[in-house]
Amino acid sequence: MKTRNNPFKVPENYFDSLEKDILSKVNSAPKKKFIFFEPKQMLRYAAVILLFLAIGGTLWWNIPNKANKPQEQYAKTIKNLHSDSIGIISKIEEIAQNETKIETIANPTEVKKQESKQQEKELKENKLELNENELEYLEYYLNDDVLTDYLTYNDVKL
Amino acid sequence: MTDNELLSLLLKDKTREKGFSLLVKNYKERIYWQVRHMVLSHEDANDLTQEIFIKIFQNIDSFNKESSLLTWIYRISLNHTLNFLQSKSQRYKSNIKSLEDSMLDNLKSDKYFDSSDIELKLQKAILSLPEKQRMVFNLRYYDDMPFKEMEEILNTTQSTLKSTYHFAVKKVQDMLLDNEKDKFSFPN
Repeated sequence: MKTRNNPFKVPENYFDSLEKDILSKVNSAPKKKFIFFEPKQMLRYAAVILLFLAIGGTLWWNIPNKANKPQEQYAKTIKNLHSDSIGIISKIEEIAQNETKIETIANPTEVKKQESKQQEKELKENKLELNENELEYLEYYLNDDVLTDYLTYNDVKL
Repeated sequence: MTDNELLSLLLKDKTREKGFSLLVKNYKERIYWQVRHMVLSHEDANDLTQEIFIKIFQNIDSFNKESSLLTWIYRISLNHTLNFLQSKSQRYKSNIKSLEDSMLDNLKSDKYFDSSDIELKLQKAILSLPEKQRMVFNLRYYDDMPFKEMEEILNTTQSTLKSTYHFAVKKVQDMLLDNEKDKFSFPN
């Protein structure tokens, strides 16, 4: 004959005692409440945040500085070289000026020549040089008021 | 008392304890046997049943009414039992003896078990099944649970559950001798 017996047994009055046990445990166990910030969780979050801050801080203070150091050193070297070269140039110029002063003191005719050359240069800069044909052409129109006004306005010295 | 009436008692602070007392009265045996058939030992089943009911009491507010109260209770019970077995089997990983062998040995000396040879053979065959297959087999064989109800509890389609069960029955029958097979009635 086919059977489907339950081979498992329980102690006598077990289910009555089970009910009592469960109810007594439930009354003594605290009811699970939803707490947004549990102390343990708070500590975990705080630890994670501190860890991130520590890693971030280390990266922020060390890695970029290390990366900039060669650049800064390069910039300093260039700056020093630049200032050195300026110093050298100014010294060369100073020496050159001193040399010309010595030359002029030693040769007074040379000084006069230089002065006349300078004067000629200034005159050329201020004067309008015209050839003969141009002068004739201008003289032809000399009485013309428009031309006179133009020349006056443009401060052209003939 | 219907599950809805029971639930309305459980969800009110004033009537919660009364409602819970009724819930324990209604479901204690079903839950105990479901657990016992999985863990085999009375002591383990007793501890787990108490833990399951405490869990139900603590989480009753999170019951969303999408399933029936029975389905929700069974889900908690099955998950709790599977977690227990899995953590226990982890402890047996380094042992020469498997958890299943140890369970079978304990069963032989269990005073709350009819330790006839044929029953021991059946338990040995059931223990050879994978955990989830064993769960489906037990729910159908011992609790006579319809596949429709199982579908809701285990969140698996009926066709999958049916094939799982029939495969399990075949395996169990293969482990029994012909004259032994006839002594057990496996529901379809």
